[in-house]
Amino acid sequence: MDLITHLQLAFRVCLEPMNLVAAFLGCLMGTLVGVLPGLGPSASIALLLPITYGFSPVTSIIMLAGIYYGAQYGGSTTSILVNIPGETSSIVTCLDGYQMAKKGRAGAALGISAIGSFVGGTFAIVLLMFLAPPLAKFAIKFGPPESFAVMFFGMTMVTYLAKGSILKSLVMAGFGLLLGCIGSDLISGGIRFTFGIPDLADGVGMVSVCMGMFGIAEVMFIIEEGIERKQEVYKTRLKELLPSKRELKDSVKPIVRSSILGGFLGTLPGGGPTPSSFMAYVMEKRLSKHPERFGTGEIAGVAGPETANNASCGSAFIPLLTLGIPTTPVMAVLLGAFMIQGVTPGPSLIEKSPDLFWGVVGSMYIGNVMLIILNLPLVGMWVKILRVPYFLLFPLIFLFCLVGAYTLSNSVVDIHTMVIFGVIGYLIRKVDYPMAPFILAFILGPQFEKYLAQSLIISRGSFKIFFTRPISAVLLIVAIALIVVPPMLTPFLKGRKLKFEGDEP
Amino acid sequence: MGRRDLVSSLVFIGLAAIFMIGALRYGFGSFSRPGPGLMPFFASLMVIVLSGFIFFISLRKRKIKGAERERFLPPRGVTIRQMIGVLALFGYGIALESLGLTLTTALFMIIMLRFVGLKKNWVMILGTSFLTTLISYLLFVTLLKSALPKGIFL
Amino acid sequence: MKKGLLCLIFALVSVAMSGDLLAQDKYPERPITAIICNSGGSMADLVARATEDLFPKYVGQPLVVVNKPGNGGLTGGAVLATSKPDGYTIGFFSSTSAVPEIVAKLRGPAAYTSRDVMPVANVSGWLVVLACNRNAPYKTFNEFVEYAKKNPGKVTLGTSGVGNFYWMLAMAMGKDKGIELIDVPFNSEPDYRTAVLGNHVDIAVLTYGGPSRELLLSKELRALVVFEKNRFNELPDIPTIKEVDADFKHGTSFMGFFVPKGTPQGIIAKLSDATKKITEDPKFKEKMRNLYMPIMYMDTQAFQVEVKRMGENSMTFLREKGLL
Repeated sequence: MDLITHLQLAFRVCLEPMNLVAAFLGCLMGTLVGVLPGLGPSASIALLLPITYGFSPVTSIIMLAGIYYGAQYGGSTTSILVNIPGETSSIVTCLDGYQMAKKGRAGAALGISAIGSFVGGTFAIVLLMFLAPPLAKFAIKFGPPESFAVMFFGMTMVTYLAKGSILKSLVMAGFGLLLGCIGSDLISGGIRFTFGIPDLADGVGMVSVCMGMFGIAEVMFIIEEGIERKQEVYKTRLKELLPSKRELKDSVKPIVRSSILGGFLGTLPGGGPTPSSFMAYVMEKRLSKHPERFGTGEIAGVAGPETANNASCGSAFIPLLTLGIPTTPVMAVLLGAFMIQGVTPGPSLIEKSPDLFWGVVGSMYIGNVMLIILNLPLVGMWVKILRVPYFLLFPLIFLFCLVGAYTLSNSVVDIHTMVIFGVIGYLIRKVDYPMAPFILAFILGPQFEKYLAQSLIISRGSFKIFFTRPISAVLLIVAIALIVVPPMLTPFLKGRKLKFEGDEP
Repeated sequence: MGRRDLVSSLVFIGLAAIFMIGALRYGFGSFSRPGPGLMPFFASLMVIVLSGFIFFISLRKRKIKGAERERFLPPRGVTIRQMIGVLALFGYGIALESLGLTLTTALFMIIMLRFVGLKKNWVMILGTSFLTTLISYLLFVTLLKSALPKGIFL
Repeated sequence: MKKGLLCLIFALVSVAMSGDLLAQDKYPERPITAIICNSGGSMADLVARATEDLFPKYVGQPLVVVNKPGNGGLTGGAVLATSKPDGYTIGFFSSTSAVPEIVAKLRGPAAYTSRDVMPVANVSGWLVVLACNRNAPYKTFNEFVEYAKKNPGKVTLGTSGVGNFYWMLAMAMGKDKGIELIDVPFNSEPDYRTAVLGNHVDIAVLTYGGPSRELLLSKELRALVVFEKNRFNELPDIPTIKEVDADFKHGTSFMGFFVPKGTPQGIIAKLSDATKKITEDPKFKEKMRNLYMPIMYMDTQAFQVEVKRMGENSMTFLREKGLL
């Protein structure tokens, strides 16, 4: 049977010693890169490209791909331990992961993160194996109006992201949108709101803002609360290093759902780990029996996003390998790696170079296995880091953020951005405004605007385009229904008050 | 609590107003070719209107609940340490390209340990700074081959 | 006394000059940074990285490629224009970044001018083709023009920014044929290539290399016309732009090394020579074959002429077509 032959081919290729070593090195490098804040997979892949020239195309791709999904495994580590998102795809993990760490459940969070990543990644490989061509064909149908509908969906969830006052969430979302407007405007080609600063011509750096608002601000809070007191929280209750049975049980459904969500979103242009992680978080909160626990250390809030981002990494290979479409900037670099090796992904790749395609598929399995073997035992080591006396830990945190920010684009502007937003983040939390809606709007806003404008240009100004096309119509109607329906049902639900003030009990 | 909301909402209105002025100048374009000002306008409008609501609501709450005198900023000593930290972070960014990775890192660690962590043991401070600098160099430059500035020292 | 003073001045000047010459002689002593105005994985980025490998061999120091995409190529250009002219920062540009005045006319003032960056040597160029979705109701260029004339205001063109030379090629064609094209801006070529693939925009100007070439060869996308003097060997049935539009005057762009104004001649000459050797190296040739990008070396003189020509042509074109 075809499948058996393919699998045989896959494992024959990926189990060659050279390829095994390449996979291992890639995963190791990826984990390291993911753990370090700032340094991202695309930079390291680009840096290592020249080294791979001597190897065969298959070996090079195996290693570089390993870096990519390895980074997704490692990215959550700093989010959970010290509230610093290493990449934008780990931001959401900060929300509940860090809270779990504060409660002494860091090990559980790290563990479920690794498990979810494994399941998500494996699911994506399955999709790649069986459904690559049809999924790719479906993904192509997502043009600007459809992508707009997806973004619209995401934006309407903004009020779901944070606890407390809806008004405050919306104000923060508004500012997120405004911050996203700084820089080049795609449509007119002009530059907005840079106030004469040339480094802002490309917008405010997303990763620096996140590192600042989450990481730096958090350290400032800890300085406020007292550096000495911090250590006590971490010294106790470090026993359970892995998720408890109940936590595992609570994670099953989120992992399953998020695999599907991430696997699907990853095939869409502009989809990818970051939107997938946000959508997964929001989806889990929506479907959870205890949404109010999100933000205080609810395990579904870690399991969902971490699964989704790994799933979307794997499924991003679907459009890449079948049609040569890179859905995210990192995939574009990987595509470049392919091309410079003489392999150009496209419709005929699977037929012309089956050993490449199936070799990559096989190595993704191997890679995922290597990563979970690598990461689970590391949980114990990571958790020990929390034992470092805080007066030493916090300068180290600062330092890694500073260097990491610099490596983003070899510029100190990223460092300054991070520090400024660290202060801003601190002040915002001081006045009890939530940061998550700000970040979501900042990340999705420019895409939202771009797709809206593109759609309107195509339709020559008519909004009908969103409703005459089936996919976008369905998405928009569902999104609107989700906003409109719950408040209508409220009079029927006893004991639930519409919260406008964030008056916590 | 109420007072914080009063002040913060006014600040937000002010900030959003700046963006709104810019948005109006950039222009809305037309439906068939949306202009640069469209999104910023609606976003800043949303912020202004909603912050306005918050302002008035906290105005009312203030009368009902009475004044709460909760301190906004932490005690003096702590704030000074926070500020030193922030200044050191800025300083790192400014110094990095001229002094180079190693020297900047070392200085930064010393300042952090001594003035924010308030440790007095100089042996520990210098030793830790040296080790940290060494490890950062090995990690970022040697292992990961990142292009970090060389500066004066290394 | 006077003679002594003269000697002193002479000596001082010699020392100053020889310091400069000495620097040029010893150049390069440390790695060189190349600024690319495109993001990682783009064709320009890949060509640059193909040269990166050979810098140690022919230049003597490694090359570090730094991506500074954004603002249609002007961000990277501005960075180069403000870098020290010591030969350790060079740029790898196409026309938009080298001659920002073109785009500036359409989008607003740029932070630098074409006089701030000097051509060193050209490496490659662009093979350009106009493509459409395979289910489009027209199969040839002429059918397309007919369709566009019958459906004014409905034909959408995917672009990666107003004013870049792909945009200009398409607009020039449109103006010559008297058809209206609605340009829909996307972030990059892969983005609008996907849009054509999914039939969200009608046509797009693509680089004939990489995935675009694969899609054209496998008939997922249909080529309408090629913007070259001669037909492509691999697309023998597709006419050249001159065949279908005798008035068409615009050429395609270059892709080569630039330095900031004021970089010493000695350094420029060294880089230019090294580039020539790189483009003749078999390893480089192989990589370019893999990418399907042409090798079009031009030395400093020739390149200067070409950049100037391109700039003038573009400005003339914009004025003539009333796009200014």
